[in-house]
Amino acid sequence: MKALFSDYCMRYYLKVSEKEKKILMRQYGALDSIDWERSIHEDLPMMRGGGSANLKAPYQKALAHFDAYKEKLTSNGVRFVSPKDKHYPQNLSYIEDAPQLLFYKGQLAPINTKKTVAIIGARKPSGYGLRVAHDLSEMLARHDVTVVSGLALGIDAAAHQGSLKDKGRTFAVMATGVLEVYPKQNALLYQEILDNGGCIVSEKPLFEKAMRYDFPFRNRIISGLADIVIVVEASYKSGSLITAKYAADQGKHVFALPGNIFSEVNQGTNQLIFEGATPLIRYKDVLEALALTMLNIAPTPEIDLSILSEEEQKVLQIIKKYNIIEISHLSDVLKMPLKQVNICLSKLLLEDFCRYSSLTEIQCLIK
Amino acid sequence: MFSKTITSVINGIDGKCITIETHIQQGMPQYQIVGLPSQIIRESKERVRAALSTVAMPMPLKRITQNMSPANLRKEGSQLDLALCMGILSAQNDEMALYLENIGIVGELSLNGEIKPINGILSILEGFQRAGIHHVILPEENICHEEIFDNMKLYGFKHLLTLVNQVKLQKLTPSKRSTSHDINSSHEQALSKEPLIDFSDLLGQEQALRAIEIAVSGHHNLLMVGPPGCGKTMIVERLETIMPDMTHEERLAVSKIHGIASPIASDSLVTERPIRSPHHTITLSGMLGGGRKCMPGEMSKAHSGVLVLDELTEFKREVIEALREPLSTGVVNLVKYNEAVTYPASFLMVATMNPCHCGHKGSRYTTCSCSSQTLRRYEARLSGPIFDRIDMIVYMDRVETVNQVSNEHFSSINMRNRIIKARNQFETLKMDEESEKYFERLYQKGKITMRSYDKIKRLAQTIAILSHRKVIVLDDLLEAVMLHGNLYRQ
Repeated sequence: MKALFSDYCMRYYLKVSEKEKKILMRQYGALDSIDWERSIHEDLPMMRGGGSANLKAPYQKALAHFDAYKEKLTSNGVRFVSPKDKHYPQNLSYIEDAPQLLFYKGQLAPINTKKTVAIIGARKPSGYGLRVAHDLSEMLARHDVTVVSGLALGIDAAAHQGSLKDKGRTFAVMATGVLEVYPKQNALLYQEILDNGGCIVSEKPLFEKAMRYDFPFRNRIISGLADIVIVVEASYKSGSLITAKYAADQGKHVFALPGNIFSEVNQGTNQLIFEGATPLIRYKDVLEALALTMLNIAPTPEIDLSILSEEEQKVLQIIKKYNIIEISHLSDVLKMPLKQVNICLSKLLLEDFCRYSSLTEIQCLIK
Repeated sequence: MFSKTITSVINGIDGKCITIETHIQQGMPQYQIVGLPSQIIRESKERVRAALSTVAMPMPLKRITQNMSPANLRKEGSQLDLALCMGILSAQNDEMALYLENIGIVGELSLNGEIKPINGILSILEGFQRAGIHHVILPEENICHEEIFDNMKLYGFKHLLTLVNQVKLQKLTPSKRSTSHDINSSHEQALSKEPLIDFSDLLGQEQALRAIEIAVSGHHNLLMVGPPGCGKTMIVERLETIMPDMTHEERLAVSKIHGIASPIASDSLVTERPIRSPHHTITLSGMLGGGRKCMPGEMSKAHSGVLVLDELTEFKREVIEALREPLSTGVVNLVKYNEAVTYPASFLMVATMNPCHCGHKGSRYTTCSCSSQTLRRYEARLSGPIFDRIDMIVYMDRVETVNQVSNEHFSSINMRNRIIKARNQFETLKMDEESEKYFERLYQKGKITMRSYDKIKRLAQTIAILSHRKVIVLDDLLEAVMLHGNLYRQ
């Protein structure tokens, strides 16, 4: 409780900067051992050069409002852990700059008992990346692995969704406050994560907004929580590469998805592989790195191809072979007039055998 | 001293017969026009006065009152000059008044007595015909071809003096009118001209060309979505090369609208199907019609033709939304001085747009650089009701120029021939049992909505007709679903 007060006091009343916080931490060791009576009279004024500012009044105010603040946290279901707590994520305590106070909503406990994998990537991925993120995450959920990501659009959302598809446990690490859903489009996903025994984690307690620089800083928690970090798609300047860098510094195993060398969203991940990340070739490799064995999952029910005509099956075979293929190219390969290809594609799209992956490309959905 | 002359004003695209009564009595010299005249008509006084004195028949120095009846209708247009002028002359000459009793008179006067051409002559003549007036005095330039209003006698004049002389002698002779043969030859001449552009100039993009063919054949509104440089504009520019000829009725209707709208006097019928492509900065009244004189807008000018909206999302929101009613009813209703005016506006809409603000969303070649906010804002530019009125959405991407050849199947002349054939064979077709069942299943699966149900059915019908079938089969239906474009958005 003392730690919470220290955080509250610093965050809202004394306006302590990151630098000042660091000095205080060095001096006292932990949040809960800060001697505020002394700090407001000696340490802080000294740091701020001369003690012109009167810190007593804000400190008194903080003391007066603290109970209401605690009440607010409880009523919103927000809880917190500090490094001294038993269920503080062990993985986090090993990293540099570990958060002194971590707020969360939902079930945090499994983080120490179950394997955890972070799946991160571009906000504007290709169909290929989305599929990998979704399928991989679904498979991990089936093996009782926690999937951690950042609730961003694109790969992050696909990772959460994949896990939720198997009613899996997934953690979202936010750059905003625990209660502030960002981006708004993921409000539904946010709720689903909580409903399925997952957890929303942040360094900020309530509805705080995030600044630009909060996002990369948040990424150290994503990689810190995980045993393995998988970068699915990233361009050269992606925030995911920052996460990968944190992960490497923290000594985590980093996987990167190899991709098309011409595609912008694959350049970052290809570069990571070049620099030594493990290329993600088979989903199985991830499980092996976690020391898990692939479960013998009942084979997916045979796909009923009987509703397709012979011609449609032929088209499907080609799409399956290429995975993603342009419609006019498809017509060239099959030596079939475009009109006929369209007719077949229409049926295949309607029956969910494939989908559009770009304006003119078709992607296969069956295995 | 009293006389009556008949003339006409234009309301919407219809001519309306009105009567000008002239009364001359002793008193202070004064000239007054009553019966809701507009500014233009009030200025007529000066033109009439000047023209009369030029032909050496000056205004009588008496009290002149002219009334235009019906008095409650607001009158507009310079075509009344000649009738006002003849009214004054015939009020002083009973024989002349009797002679002109059943002759409609229209024309604008210049100060030296010349009779100048007027706008909207086709609407005016039609108005006279409806009112049972078959003799019309009009400017010589406005004499129209024999094939329209062939039961009417038209008397064309260049100068007030010749007109007055002939009327005084009671010796009006109908003007010679050019025959339909002349028109056809001029039209053929236009056709035989070597067209500079052709659909075979395009490489690839067969999907879009197929959609264009279906759109023109069966009148289905089309939206093309694609990144910059994929050929959307090139396609819409070539639309004119495949449009079928207009029927006589269509030509008459189109000519009437264009006759009112354009400032040049159009004496003959429009021969080519209109293709209007307004710039995206167009105002609401430019598109819909209206303004002080309640002119037809681009939608009406595109009647029986094509309205091309290049870069649809760049148009003002109100302009896009104004498309709703005309797209479903085929007419534009406007209000002018508390009076309803209806212009026909039944057109094929062919629109193009980029998939997002930067133009590259979903493209294989370039990554989209829009933020999620920009994307949402861009998508919100087109409302649901507008999408509901679009039958086909074609998604296009840039083509690699290597190993792409132009397709002889989609040359303009071949496309045009197929379109004409399909249009001639147009009829309502039924679906066969197999497609009916499949369609039902799709609906139950939630793959298509009630709204698209009807559109897809109409599309499938056109596709079947293009393939010379008498019944809609499953293949037609599947192609229609694909071209409808909902599969991409799902």
